[in-house]
Amino acid sequence: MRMRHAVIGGLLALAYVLSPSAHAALAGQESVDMAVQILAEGRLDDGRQALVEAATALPPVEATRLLRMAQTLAALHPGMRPTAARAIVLAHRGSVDRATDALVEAVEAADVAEPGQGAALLVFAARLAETADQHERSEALYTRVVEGHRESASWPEAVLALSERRLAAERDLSSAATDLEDLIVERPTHPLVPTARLVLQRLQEAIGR
Amino acid sequence: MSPAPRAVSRIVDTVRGYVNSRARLGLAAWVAAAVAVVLALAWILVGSEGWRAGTPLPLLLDLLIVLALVQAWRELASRRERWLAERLVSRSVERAAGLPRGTVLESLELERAVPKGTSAGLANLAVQQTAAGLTGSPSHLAGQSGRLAEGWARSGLKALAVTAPLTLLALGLAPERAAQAWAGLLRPVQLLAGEVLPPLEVMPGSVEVARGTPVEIDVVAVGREEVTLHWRAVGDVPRSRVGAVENEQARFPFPSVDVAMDYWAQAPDGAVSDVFTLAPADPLLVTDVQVSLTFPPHTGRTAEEYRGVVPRLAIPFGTRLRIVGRASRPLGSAGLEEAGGGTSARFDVSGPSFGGDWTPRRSALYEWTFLDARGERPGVVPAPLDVVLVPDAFPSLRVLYPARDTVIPITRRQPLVVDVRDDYGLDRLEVEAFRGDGPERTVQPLSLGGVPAAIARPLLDLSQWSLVPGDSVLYRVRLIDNSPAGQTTQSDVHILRVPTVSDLRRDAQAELEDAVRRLEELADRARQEAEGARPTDASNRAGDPMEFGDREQARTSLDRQREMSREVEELSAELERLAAAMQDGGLADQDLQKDLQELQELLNEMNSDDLVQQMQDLEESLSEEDARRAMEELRQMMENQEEFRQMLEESLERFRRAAVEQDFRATREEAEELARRERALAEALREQDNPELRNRQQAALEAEAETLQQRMERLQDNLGELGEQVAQRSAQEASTSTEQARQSMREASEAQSGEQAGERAEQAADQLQQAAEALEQAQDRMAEELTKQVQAALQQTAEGALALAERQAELRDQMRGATREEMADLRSDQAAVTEGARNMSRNLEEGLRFSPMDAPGVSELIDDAQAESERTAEALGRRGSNPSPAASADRTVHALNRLAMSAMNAADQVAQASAQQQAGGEQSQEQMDQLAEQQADLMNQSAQMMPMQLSQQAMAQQMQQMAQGQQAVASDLGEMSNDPGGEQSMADMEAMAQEAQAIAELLAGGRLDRETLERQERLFHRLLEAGRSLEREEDEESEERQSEAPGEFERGQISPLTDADLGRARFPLPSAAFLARLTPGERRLVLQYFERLNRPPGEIR
Repeated sequence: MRMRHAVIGGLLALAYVLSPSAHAALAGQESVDMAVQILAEGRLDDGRQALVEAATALPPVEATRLLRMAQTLAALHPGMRPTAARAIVLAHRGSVDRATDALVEAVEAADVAEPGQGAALLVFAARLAETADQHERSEALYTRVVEGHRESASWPEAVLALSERRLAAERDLSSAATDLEDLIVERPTHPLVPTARLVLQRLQEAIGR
Repeated sequence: MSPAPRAVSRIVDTVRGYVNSRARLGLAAWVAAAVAVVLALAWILVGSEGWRAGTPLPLLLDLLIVLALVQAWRELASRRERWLAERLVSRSVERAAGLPRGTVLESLELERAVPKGTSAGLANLAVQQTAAGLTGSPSHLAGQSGRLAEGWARSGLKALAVTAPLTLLALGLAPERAAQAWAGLLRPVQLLAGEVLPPLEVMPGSVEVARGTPVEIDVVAVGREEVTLHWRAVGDVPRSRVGAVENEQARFPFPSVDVAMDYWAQAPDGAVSDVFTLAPADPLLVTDVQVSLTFPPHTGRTAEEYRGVVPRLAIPFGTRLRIVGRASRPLGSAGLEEAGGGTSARFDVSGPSFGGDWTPRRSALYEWTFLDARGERPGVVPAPLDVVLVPDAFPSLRVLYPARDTVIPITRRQPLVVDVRDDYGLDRLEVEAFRGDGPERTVQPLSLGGVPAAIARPLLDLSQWSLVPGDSVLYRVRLIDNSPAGQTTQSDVHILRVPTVSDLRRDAQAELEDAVRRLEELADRARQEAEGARPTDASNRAGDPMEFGDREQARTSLDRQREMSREVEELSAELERLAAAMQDGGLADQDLQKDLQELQELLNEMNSDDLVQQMQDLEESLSEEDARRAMEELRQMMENQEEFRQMLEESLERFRRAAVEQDFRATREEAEELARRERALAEALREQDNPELRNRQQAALEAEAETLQQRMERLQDNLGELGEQVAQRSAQEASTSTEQARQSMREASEAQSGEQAGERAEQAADQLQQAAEALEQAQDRMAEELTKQVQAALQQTAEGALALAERQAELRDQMRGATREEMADLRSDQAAVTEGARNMSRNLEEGLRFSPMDAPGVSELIDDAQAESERTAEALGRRGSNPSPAASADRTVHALNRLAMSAMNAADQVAQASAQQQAGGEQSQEQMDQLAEQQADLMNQSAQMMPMQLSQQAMAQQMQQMAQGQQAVASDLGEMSNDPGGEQSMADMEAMAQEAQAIAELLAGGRLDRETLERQERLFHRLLEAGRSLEREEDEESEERQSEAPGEFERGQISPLTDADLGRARFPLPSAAFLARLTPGERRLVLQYFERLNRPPGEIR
């Protein structure tokens, strides 16, 4: 019986591997690996471009993650890009902690000359932590951005992410609502503001309960 | 023997008596009838005046009566004798009584005497028996005799019955006349024997008297004591008045004679005057004078006519007057005489009419002379004719635009606006242009078609002349009228200066600023239109006719939108012309050309295909009067209008920026040019070759520096308005440097030594160069900031798209296995994603608002992502939706990812383009344009240096620099000709390179003259043309051209030229001085306004 199950499982696995989608997924993964390898070699622009190209071969949700990385690299000041690239490499290799640490250290090293760059790195770190299910760390990083980088372009994303977590955990609801109100008032045209309004409404309902 | 008793005799006597009475009655009747006839005759003969003295008629009539009586008596006697004869009577009685014949006669004889032998008794008995047989009335017994007598009596009575009524009628009709007539019969002898007095004399007899004037009628009545004046006015009853005769004359005054009146006098003795007439006469009046004017043919004036009051006649010399008129009475003569003597005119007379032709030869007051048939002058004559003969004046002209020395447009075609007038008509206008120092001379005629006044718009076309910047062309306008002599007037000589590159730059700036103003106006109108009435709710059904108000509203909206679209098209076309003209004129500024091209594209995008199609559809709907369809089309067009308005607003910002950028470039270039000339002057100042000239040149440059500084200050303000603080600070620094340069220039002017002056001038040149560099840096910073702004906008778009993609991914996870209620909740989350995509679109538009760059495809991808998100929301609301909500969410994520990639790619491209621009990487066409720009710059330098009259050494130094520049152009051209991949013909490149080399050698040899300048310009145009050829080749490569079969075309109807086409104007333009004070845009508006005013009424809408 056990044997039969193993055979069936093996056949299914083989069928999956041989299927076009699986083939594409494997090819996409290879492309990602290749892109990360290029980044690891310090060829940042090529690596970023490779990430974008790899994204085209992945399912949409996976592609979004890669594109996020590429966009972060593009948006950062040239001086900050190696740090981000290193973090990407580390995260890809499973060292999410080290990756986030590297990013946070870079921010704390106070060599972030361009305004908003620190926030971008912290949000990037928070996203990496999130993918590794390090929710507390992620929340802490978002909190840093919300509290300390109000003027940055990453602030709305951080506010929304933090508020949703607080809503889910049903804590600091008032504070979250205040942050969302600030976001709606200060960045009324940001793409995330319509979602922020919904979250605010839910927060207020939760507070009312 | 005694006779028998007289019984029969009595009876016969009785009968006789009866017959006798009848006879007498007849006599009386006949006499009465005769008298009645005579009385009637008397009534007739007497007339209305009665019997005249000495007339025998009454006597004759009386005799007639007597004769009638005599005759009647004789007739009676005769008849009585017959009727009363005894035999007849006896026989009549016998017959009446039925007695035997002779019975009565025998009885009568017996009664008179009984014959002897006859018994008396028997006789008596016989008489008795006869008497007894005579029974009956006398009338019965009268028998035949009685009947005759009665017949006579009846005849008389009948005659009387006929005549008596006539007499009574006469009596009744005119009792007085009857009395006079019959009274005369009673005194015939008196009348016959009466004294015959002289006839009555009446004065003034039959005459005409002035109507309404008093008249006295005198009657000379010798021998009478009184006289009666009778008169009968027209329309009145006859009247009479008795007047006493004093001194043999009676006077009858009449206070007023208003109508014709017959009158006569009568004296009591029956004397009657003739009947005279008093006719009221009006004064001699000359009425209905008509003066027709026939003007000389060359005046082109149509004939005129005056009737009644003739005003002062200001008429061209040679005008013929045809005069006709009519008087109230027949005329003897008619004419005109110059007041105070002199010429006169006589007219033909026919009855009361007069007329004739007359051509006055002198200006004068001409008085009318009339005489009637009796030689009397009229009481009233028409007012004198005031004739002013106007000689053919010389035509007049006024050059309204440009009206003073000015700069010729870069097209080398100078439009002129000339107000031309003549008293009669204009034949043609000629614009003569010539160069003071050149062989060119041209006369360009413009036919005016004989109009008396016009706003002529000749175009002085000098495009075929070889003009270089700084050249001057003289021109004047000559005007010839249409008189046989062809009288001519000409304007002053004006100067057209060929613009320098600096002028062109400012022209371009002015055109852009004008475009901004026009766009602002359009934006206002579009805003008002958007705020205007919206279509009413379409409760109509298909095919329903439109309400009038709805149709008018729709038509108005359509017309307005068309007008706005047309203006946008016009503006776009003007920009295209401007770009070409700038290049032709020598301003090969690539930045400007790019700006103009981009602005043009922006304008073209406004009139989207959708909008154009929408307008056509609406027009068709309105024609078909389908209310529902029209309202729907109108609604859709308004949506497109909203898009049009938004694009207009966005374009406006871009135009403003382009105008300021052009100002920036022009100011910087001017600063550089000024620095260059100041440096050249510095060298000349050191040499002290001509101190007076140099001082003048220094003062001129200082004045230019002042102007430049003012422009910099204005630029600062404009930059401030755009929010370009960094650039504004740079402009301020440049202004400060320029101020310092001016100070140095002043010091140079006041310096004691040439060396010192040169140093100061050199210092000023450096400061101006600093100003130019500051501006250049600021300009670069602006461009850099703009690039960053675009990059940031694109990156934000990418960030936003990815954030939304993540959000969408989360929603997708939640959709899986969600209940219906949860699905419903997720719809609002999905709607938030859609709204976020909309925000992203708005943010991108805002970020690219000022940018000349575009992000091709990004906007479309945002729309795609938005549409996918909407589809996902729809899938959430449908049970069993295919694709499922999760699958649809996947597609939304994919769309957002594609958007992010596109935005990242666009941001990269922007960065690369910026880097490439900084590095100088160019394509062949761009290289060629760059070379053209360099050549234009060299040409400009030559044009600036040539008139400076620098010393040999200073000029040599400057020319060395120019030669190096020219040499660089030659080298680049040589390199391009050697480029194996070059598109341009090798031979062309080589030829241009050789020409550039030749010019460089000329410059190096110190030769800078007109010929050199012209060669430079020709080379510039060849480079320009080469660039265009390359551009065309690139376009041809990039576009796959497909030939199309020619479609049908409509043959336009060629209308005859209208007054407006000929430039005739009812409302003259404002003065030249006024127009000159306006900006080009304002001037255009004013000219358009007057053109609209002067359009024919049918075209005014």
